[in-house]
Amino acid sequence: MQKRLFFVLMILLALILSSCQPAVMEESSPVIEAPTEVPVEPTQVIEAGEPVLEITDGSQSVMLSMADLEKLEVVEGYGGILSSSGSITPPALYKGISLKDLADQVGGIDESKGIVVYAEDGYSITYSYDQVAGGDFLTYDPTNGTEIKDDIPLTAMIGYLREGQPLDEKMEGKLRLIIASDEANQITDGHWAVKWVVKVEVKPVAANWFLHLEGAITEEMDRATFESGSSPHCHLKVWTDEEGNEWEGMPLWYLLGRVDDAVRHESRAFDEDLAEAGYTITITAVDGYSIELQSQPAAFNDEWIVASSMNGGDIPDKYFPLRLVGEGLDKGQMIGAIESIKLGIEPIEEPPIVEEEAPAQATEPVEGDVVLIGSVGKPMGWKIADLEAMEMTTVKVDHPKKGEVEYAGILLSDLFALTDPAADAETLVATAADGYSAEIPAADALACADCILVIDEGQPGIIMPGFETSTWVKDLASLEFKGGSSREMSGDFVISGNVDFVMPFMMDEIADMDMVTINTKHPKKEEMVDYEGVRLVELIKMAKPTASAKKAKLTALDGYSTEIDLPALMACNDCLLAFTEDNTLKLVMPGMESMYWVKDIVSVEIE
Amino acid sequence: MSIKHFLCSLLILFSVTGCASNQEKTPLVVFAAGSLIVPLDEVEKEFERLHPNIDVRTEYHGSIQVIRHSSELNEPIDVVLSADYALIPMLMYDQLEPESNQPYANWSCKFASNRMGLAYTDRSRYADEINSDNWYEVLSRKDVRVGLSDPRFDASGYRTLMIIKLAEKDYGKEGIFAQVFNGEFTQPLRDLDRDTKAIILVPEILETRTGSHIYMRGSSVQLISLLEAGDIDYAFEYESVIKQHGLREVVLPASLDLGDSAFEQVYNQVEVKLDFRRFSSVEPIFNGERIAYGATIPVNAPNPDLAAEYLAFLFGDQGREIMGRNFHPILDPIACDGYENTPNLLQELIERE
Repeated sequence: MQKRLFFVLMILLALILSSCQPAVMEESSPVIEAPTEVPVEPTQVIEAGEPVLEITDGSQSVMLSMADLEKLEVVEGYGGILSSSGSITPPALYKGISLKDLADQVGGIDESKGIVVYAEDGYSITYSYDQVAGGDFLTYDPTNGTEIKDDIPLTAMIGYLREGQPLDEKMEGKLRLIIASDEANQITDGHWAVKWVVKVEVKPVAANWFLHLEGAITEEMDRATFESGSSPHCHLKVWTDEEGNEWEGMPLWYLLGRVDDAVRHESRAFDEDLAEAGYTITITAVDGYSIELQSQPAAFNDEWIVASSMNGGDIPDKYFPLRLVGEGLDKGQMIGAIESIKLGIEPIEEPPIVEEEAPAQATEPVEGDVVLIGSVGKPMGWKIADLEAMEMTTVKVDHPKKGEVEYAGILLSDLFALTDPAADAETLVATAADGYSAEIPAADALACADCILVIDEGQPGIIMPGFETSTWVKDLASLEFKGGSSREMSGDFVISGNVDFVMPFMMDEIADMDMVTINTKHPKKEEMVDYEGVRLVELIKMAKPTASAKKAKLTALDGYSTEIDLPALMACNDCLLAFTEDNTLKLVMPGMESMYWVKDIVSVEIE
Repeated sequence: MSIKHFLCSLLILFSVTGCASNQEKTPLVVFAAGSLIVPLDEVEKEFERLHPNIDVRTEYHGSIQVIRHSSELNEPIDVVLSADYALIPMLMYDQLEPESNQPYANWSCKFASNRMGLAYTDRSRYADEINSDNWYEVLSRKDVRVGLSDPRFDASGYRTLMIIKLAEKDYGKEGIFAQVFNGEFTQPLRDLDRDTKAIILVPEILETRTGSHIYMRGSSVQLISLLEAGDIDYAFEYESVIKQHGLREVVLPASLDLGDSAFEQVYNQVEVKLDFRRFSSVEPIFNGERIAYGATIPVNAPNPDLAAEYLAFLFGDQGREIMGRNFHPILDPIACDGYENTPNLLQELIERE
């Protein structure tokens, strides 16, 4: 009995022990997965000097070894992953270099650029400026994967250590991208956390588009140049469609003139003889779709417009960045999403003429606490005391971070009026005393009605409503207009000086304007003659003389000049800018002395 | 107790525990599209019940990532199940596996379809008003929060774009795409109307503007959570997923829902092109076509025979029953490209494409 009992007990004991080791392992269904990356000893020793990461911006490359990376500013933070199916890899502590700091190796990143991160298999992901500089990523609770509504400061980094150990090269590669925070309180979408990273590329993104122009020469016209050229004081034209939408841009023929010969933008840039002889214009969209036009109907045709905006705002997305519109084009010809314009003409063999640089500055250096220099007719410098003595204007602006704020300062437009910037200047560079600089499209700066220069505790700075905060430069030292043609040589006939807008006019433009015929006689001749031309007062009005302007200096090609009272000039409705028989310009000034009937007139300078 | 008793006891003890000791299970790695989570969970359980020595490990990702893990990252995967059948030949047929120098795959089976529907809840704005005839007008209202999965990462995302563009011809109303999306992104989503086809260009940076009524997430699965929480009003989802989650649905016409082979030519009238290259090996163009889920066994599968058994289960009666019950029926017949390369075990269950 005892023996039997003993055996029964042993069998029972055995069964109990076996029940603790089930035949079939119960499968757990974890919400949280164990990290797939287990810190292990690397299977490959990475030589300190072996390049592991390439940083490039397309024009230059920097190869960095692990030792190089460790010399850069190291950041540390917690990053984890939420997969697209909802599985969670909890945060781990990574050490690495921020993507922004890596971009600085090749000049840095701004709003016009993005960063492409490449894995060794060629896979790539593009990160926006907001993601790189602002950590703008969706975050999720690492315990349950729900979206976190509050902002958590994040840094996109290229990590090379995980929990103090080199990454598992097989699982993650030597380097991986991780979105990190100071605490282990978030995870991000897995598709951002690229493994096996080998290259980082800084590149322009689609918002900063280029228009490819190809003919006798080639030009990659960037957005800033196009918008400057199609601004109100340049070549802006507007076409209204059947629905009343106003399409704004510049005439097609101006773009043809950029590349139809070696003369890109000086006077007579458009080769009318070539256009008359005939060539095909091929306009191609980003997807390869194209249309063809002929040069003859395009020549001097201000009705065919390459538009970049509509109704004063963004062009509709489907036509971004440019659309050809205008009278005489059928719907099929109004191609959008334009990427290139090609002229069916032979490229020239000689190197193209380089556009003239802005003229050298005044021989005397400009000095002051703040200087305004560059492509301006009159570089100037001011001491703080000079600025404080100027007329102040108060503006209310929406500060990107502080909300509505009132600022008192000097309108930048007033300073520009004093210095006479080139109408086709491309960029305004604001530089601080410590060397920090910000670039602003010149056209936008010139058009800004409430941009001001303030003096805050003796330090100058600029307030730029509507612009990125990076342009609100403190401790300002200089404003410099860059690009654009010479102030004196920007047109066949120029109105400049004490005006809001310097107005250069080409012969072709003048010829296209509304002409009037005045019957009058020269003071030194007997007969009455019909003179045809453009009313001079209308041209001067376009330049908008300032309230303090009193005189106008009329200058001829040979250097002859004379002054006239501005009010008298503005009162002369019949005063004309007219063509001579040999295709030069002259002034027709009914009722005025012969000294004002200037032949070969080239400029009117308002003083 | 005598020594004999003791030794007998030990013998009993070890023999009983030895029978019950842990057996090593063979892992079977399945990478699948996220829209298959619910039915494949059941498939996994049932398959393991019938094959106790197999441990099915299923991972879910966007379909492009599913295949990338196999063909680009050379991970040992036994079964690939993609929500876009076309991705298997696109990404696996031309890529050579380094050890064998063979293509990662040389056959693929269209095993399931799906259709797209517009998911919403009782809390969605205009829930009482929306129907199959006016959904596009409701979605274009700026106070309506529309969920979109990122077309750069998720097939559901680019299929949503296709449906909204196809709606223009279907309802005879130009501009529907622009009404929903114009101005909503920092870089524009462009729809170009060409003679035979509409082309939708997706920029490489796709981010919504502040205040946009479009709510974009990395995958369509994340949109379900937002719908259920009331954070968005509408989102296009696979019908199987809509039904699995008990959501309300605006049923789309067959000419739009990408689920009917009779309308293949209609679907072909749109394509989505990623305006950048995410994979060095792939031209990122997705043609409008009937939704077809694809299956294959990569050439470097660690357990190809077990993989074939798994697929045979999925394609067989039991798999069909599970999938059908979860509103995601298996196709009948299952057509396979590269039929001659398919495992013998499957050939009774499939047909040549």
